[in-house]
Amino acid sequence: MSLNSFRNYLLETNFSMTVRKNNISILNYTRIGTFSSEEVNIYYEKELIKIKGKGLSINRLMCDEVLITGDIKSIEMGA
Amino acid sequence: MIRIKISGKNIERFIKRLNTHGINIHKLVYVNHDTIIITISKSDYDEVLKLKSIYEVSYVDSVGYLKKKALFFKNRILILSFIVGLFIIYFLSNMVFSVEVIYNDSKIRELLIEELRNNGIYPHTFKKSYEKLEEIKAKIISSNRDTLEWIEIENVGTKYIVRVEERKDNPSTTKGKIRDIVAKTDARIISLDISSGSIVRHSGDYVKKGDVIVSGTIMLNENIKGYTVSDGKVYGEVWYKTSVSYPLYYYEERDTNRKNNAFVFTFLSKRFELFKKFDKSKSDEIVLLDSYLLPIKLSYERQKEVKIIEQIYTYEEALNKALELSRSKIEAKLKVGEYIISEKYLSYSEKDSKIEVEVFYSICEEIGEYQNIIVEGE
Repeated sequence: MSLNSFRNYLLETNFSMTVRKNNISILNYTRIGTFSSEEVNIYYEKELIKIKGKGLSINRLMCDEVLITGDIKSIEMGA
Repeated sequence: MIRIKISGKNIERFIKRLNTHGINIHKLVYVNHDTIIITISKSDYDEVLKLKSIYEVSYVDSVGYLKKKALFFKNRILILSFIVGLFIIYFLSNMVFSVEVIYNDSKIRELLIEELRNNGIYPHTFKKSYEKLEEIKAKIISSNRDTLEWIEIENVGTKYIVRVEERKDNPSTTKGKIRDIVAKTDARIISLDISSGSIVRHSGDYVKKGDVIVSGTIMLNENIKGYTVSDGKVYGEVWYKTSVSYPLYYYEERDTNRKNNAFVFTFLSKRFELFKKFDKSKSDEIVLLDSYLLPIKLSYERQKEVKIIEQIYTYEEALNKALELSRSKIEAKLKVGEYIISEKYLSYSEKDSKIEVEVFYSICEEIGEYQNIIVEGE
């Protein structure tokens, strides 16, 4: 395992999105767009991730991580 | 970490503002549509206050380390009291407040208390470990081997209970160490060979049975200063009167220690010996053949030769023989260092073809015997 791989293992720098039953965790996003209880928009570079659902709320908002909970209906990705 | 409450219109805008300014929100909880409670680092709180503009920001409480710190500070007296209390309990429960020796004899008790004190076991000191107690016990026993048989130190609460067993000496060994030498019979002392003890009777003194000849009690100015083990031998002149009888006609079958085996055929009262060797003999007979109808018998005999000594003595010869017999009987009883000083026949008489002689003996024999000293209070 190279040093960079090891560093990436400890400090993940790539964009990733983990979807669970009632929450979604996004790492290394670029910025937060608009958000409400029905829709949360998140940008990664020029791509938009649109999360739709009911009772959505941001539970954690860090510089490189965001955790959204609620009844997630759909996730759309596009430019 | 701290928790703060933020209220205002379009709360999402304020959240975005915080995010834009690099403030990490570790936890976000919606209270209602225009109020949230967020968890942020304490160092970000000032930045939040700068950015609040029309929003209302209020401190709720601390979480994590800060919460614990605040909790400790709030309850510091209680916590410190608890810690001090624990320390005092530990301190007191590891202290010895009394040392009790269970034994009847006050001398033994005092001895043990002193020994325990010398080994660091006394009131208001810390308890010793099991290994240390074992070491102390072994040390006390080894330094009081003559007095103590066994000790046990038991820890009961804040008390040491010491049980002890005194060494009981075997009476047959130690009691006999302190002793006198006394006369075992009436006698006149001839000589003393004493290695220890105080000689109270000397050569030429007449002593009666039980008189102390060598004392084990050490006296000084009529006061007892101590005791010792009297040891040695005392020879004295002792007198005996014996009576011995001797036959005027003497007959004796004396063994010559020669042996022979023979077959004997007997017909009526006549003996016919095969391999006959001795004229006079004593024999053990094994009957091989014996008939009830015919007067015959065949037997095997283990024969021992005997010599017949037959003698008829005059009075004078019989008297000498009687004296000789009497002397040999006396000499047989004498031990090393003992001897006959003199002998004298007192009277003689004849009865049933025997001569009876009374002889007086003066004998030098050991007259001392050991007698243990019983000391009062022991």
